[in-house]
Amino acid sequence: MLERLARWLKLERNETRRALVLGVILGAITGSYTLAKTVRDAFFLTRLSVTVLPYLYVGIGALAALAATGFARVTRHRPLWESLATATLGAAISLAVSAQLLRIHAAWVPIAFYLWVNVYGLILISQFWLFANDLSHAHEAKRIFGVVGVGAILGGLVGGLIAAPLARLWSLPTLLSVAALLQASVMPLVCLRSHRSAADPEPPPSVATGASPLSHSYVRWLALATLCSVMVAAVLDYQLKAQVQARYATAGQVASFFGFFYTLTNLAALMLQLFATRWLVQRVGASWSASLAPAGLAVTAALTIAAPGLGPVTAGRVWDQVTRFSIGKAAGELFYFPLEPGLRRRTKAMIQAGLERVGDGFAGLVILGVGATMGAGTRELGIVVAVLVALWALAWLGVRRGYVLELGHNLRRLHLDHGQMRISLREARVLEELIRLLASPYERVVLHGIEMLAEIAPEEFEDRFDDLLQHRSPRARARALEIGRLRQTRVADERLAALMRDDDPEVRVQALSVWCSRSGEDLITPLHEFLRGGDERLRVAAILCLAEQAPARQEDRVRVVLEEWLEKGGTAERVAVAEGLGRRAAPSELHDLLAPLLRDRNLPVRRAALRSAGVAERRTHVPVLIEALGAAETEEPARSALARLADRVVGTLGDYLADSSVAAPIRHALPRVLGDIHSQESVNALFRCRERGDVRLAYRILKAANRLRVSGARLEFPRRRITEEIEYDVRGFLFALVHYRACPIGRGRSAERLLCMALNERMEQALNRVFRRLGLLYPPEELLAAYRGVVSDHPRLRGNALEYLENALTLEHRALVMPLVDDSGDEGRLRVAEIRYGMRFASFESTLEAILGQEDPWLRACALYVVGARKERSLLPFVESSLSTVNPLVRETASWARLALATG
Amino acid sequence: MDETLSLMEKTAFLKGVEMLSSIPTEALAQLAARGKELHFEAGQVIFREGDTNRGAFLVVDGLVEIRKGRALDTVRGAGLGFGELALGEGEPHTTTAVATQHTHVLNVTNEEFFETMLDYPEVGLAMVRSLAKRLTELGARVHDLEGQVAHLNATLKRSGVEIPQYQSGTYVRPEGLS
Repeated sequence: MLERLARWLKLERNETRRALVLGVILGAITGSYTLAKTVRDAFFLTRLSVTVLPYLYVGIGALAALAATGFARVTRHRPLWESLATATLGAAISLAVSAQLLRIHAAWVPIAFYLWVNVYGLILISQFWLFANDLSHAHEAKRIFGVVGVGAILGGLVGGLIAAPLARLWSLPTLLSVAALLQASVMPLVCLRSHRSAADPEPPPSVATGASPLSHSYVRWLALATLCSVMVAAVLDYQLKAQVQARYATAGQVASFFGFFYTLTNLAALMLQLFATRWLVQRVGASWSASLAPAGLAVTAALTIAAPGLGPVTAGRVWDQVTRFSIGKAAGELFYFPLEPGLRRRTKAMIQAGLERVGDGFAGLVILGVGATMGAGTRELGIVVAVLVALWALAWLGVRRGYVLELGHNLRRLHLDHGQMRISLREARVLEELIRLLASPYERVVLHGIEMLAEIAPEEFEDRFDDLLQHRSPRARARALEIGRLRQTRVADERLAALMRDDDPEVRVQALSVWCSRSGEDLITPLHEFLRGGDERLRVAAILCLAEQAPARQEDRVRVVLEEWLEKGGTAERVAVAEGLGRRAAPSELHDLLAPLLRDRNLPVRRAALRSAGVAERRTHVPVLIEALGAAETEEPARSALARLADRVVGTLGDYLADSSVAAPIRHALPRVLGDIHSQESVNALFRCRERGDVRLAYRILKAANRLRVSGARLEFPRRRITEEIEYDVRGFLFALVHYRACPIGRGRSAERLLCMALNERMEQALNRVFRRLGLLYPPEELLAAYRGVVSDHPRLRGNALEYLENALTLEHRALVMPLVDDSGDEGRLRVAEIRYGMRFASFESTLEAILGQEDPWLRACALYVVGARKERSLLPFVESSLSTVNPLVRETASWARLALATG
Repeated sequence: MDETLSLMEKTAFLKGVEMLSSIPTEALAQLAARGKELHFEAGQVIFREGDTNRGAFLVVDGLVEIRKGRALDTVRGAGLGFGELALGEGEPHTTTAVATQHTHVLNVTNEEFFETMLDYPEVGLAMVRSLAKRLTELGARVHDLEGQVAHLNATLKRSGVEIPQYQSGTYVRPEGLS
């Protein structure tokens, strides 16, 4: 039974169970509440004038805010199910007591009863939705809240149906007793549902739980939209009741009208809920669905202004009630999901338990104000409704914008926000914090502290200079020396002598620089003793120091010295010359020495020269640098040198990348270089290459584009091209899926198993690429979180990721990507593959044929291996055609397969 | 020694080795292309303790005894690996490996492994995951053993037996005991 229902509702089994229980609970609450409302309206309108209502609205606003705050305070440390159970019990008892009070003929009774019904109703329904939100996540909510909403409408419908005939047969207190019984029946269900699985707990609230929810702009828009909606409902309610009181005289007639009214509205809501809500929410999203209510009310407000009367007023009220209980409720609840749990709970409490009733109060004040100035006629109030609807539409636009942003933030929060762990120096007491940084065990922190201290508090830096020169981190010692030299801070002779013999080469260079700075502008003379001395480490430091700091007018003399070391020096000295040239700022004639060193036989010398070529910034070095990218041992220095040349070399790199005749290792290294150059030209160069056959190269290009995307530079990525690539990857994913499903699993080391695994990996890789590409067009951090969510086993993460994608992606991208990740399962995806691309499984042989006919070399090699292992002779033509392919792996496997077929 | 496996067969074999099972097949093919097949007869020493490190060996077929000094450390059969892949350059083998029957192995040197890792970072990632898992398992095992040793020590102490101290591979007997 449950299985059949789950299939019909297109839900999971456990989701169906959850939806049914929640639907029954809400149905009972709403049924009871509808009965209570019918009694309330009939009792009030037959005892008092409708003109009292605006005052009651104000009273409801004040009382509800107090009651909601009090209730929240009392139940804040209790589980949500317990709060709901308490509210239910309280409501049932209060209804039973009220049934007795209605027999008293006093003026205060209808007023007190009217106030109380509104207050308890609001607390109860708000508690129910908090409870329901806690049991699900955004994506599941989208599917099950429709069913839960049906429960509410059915409850309202039953309540209305009972109320209309029974109001004529029974007295109002009896009707209220029925409501109390119905209310009491909810409690056991709530307690039963509370024993849910703890496997998917809601993440804990953030630390900043004390901040007002209104400090978030999204919450402000949400609050404004809710306030407008509530005020519109209250004004419409007043208009309707005024019209009803004018037309009907007895309690039975009024109760009958409202019974009929609630039946009609609930029936209409049920139709909408059953046939439109879920479709609307899933197709157009929560925000567009929520826009239906104000749109319809704008029309009825216009009708009311044009022709005031019971007809347009009832139409407006019916539309308000119908959309509120169906689309409005299902979509409105989704708006709370992006908020983190603590904030969500406080926002819901504030909006549903506070603002919704305060809204009634505001509406009462507006009605009184309008009545005092213009007269509270139907037309005048129609104008008020029109103004409020306009404000509501404005707030809706703000909510719509904020919804996608908040969904993205929520996703990242769920994937642990390490950002919260960072220390903000600006917020701390700067100086103390900086000094504290110097004692950090982390070198980077110490270096950061040195930089900041030298900049912000130089006197503090000088006070700690000697300590820094003895710091355990060599980089800290070197940097302190460098800053000290520039600031001409005094270093004791003994300390400097010790630092010149430091184990770290950079410290030695900086110490020598300080030594030389004491001797005026001539650098060669003071360094002479070290250059000619017997200590190789000091000699190397002296060469580096000389190359870096010699004044331009001494370049000829320095060149002679360096050439001499290049000619007669050992590896250490020659490397020092090559490295030293990289420390000298361009332009410099000394950089002429680099050209021969870029092709030096000695690898360390060559590597140092390649790295230095980046500083020299000469285009003549570019061909050698690109060539060096092709060898593993020189790739890294060549890459860093090319990246330093930046825009001057991007065009050339793009040409090499797009040229398929360039050696594969060079092409494979180029995307990373381009990824280090944060410019639009780099993006253009990467997208100029349309490589698909070389999977590794295509992936590296994509990764480089991702790096550019997160670099912070303002870059434009080609939308059309990326969408084409996404479609290509979607197709690749579905191709791999169709044939993966067709592939026999195989055992151990079997060829079939290898092919299966390769297809499975290709699916994972294609999905990864799809999200990487989306990250070029949408916020990359959110897309990364969404990717991690959709591949996660965690239902809440997955659900939130799907909800984010459905709202953040454009229609075109949603149509492409969602079938790959949604809950339709592999069967659904196979249907998409067949409908969209005509891919379907026929036989394993046809699968092998399809794989051998596509361009992915690794999958082809795996398929050839299977052909050989299974002796599939019918595929011999494919094997033979693969013998002449460019890819060596495919060629080698094809020749192995042919041999296997021949000998089998 | 002749190569008897095709590149794809080597890849399929490597995919079945537990330590390498999370490496993508395409990256494994690169590793397979760099690996060498070796055959050993029964009793033949594959490497000795102190020999220059030759990387990792993966048993395709056969049986290998791993000895530490004179003690038998473990026995490795088909689909299992031995040798020291993670050691730095120049560090020698810390055990002796002897084939106990005709044994067919695939040998991957450190250089070859690291080159593959540079070409395919996912290899390194998979290895880190595998090693982290192994480390966790070993940590849990050490914890269990420590508990057992503590329990045994306490039992011995209660029985009046003086406990020998274990230091760097040898037991130091309490004074007075021979």
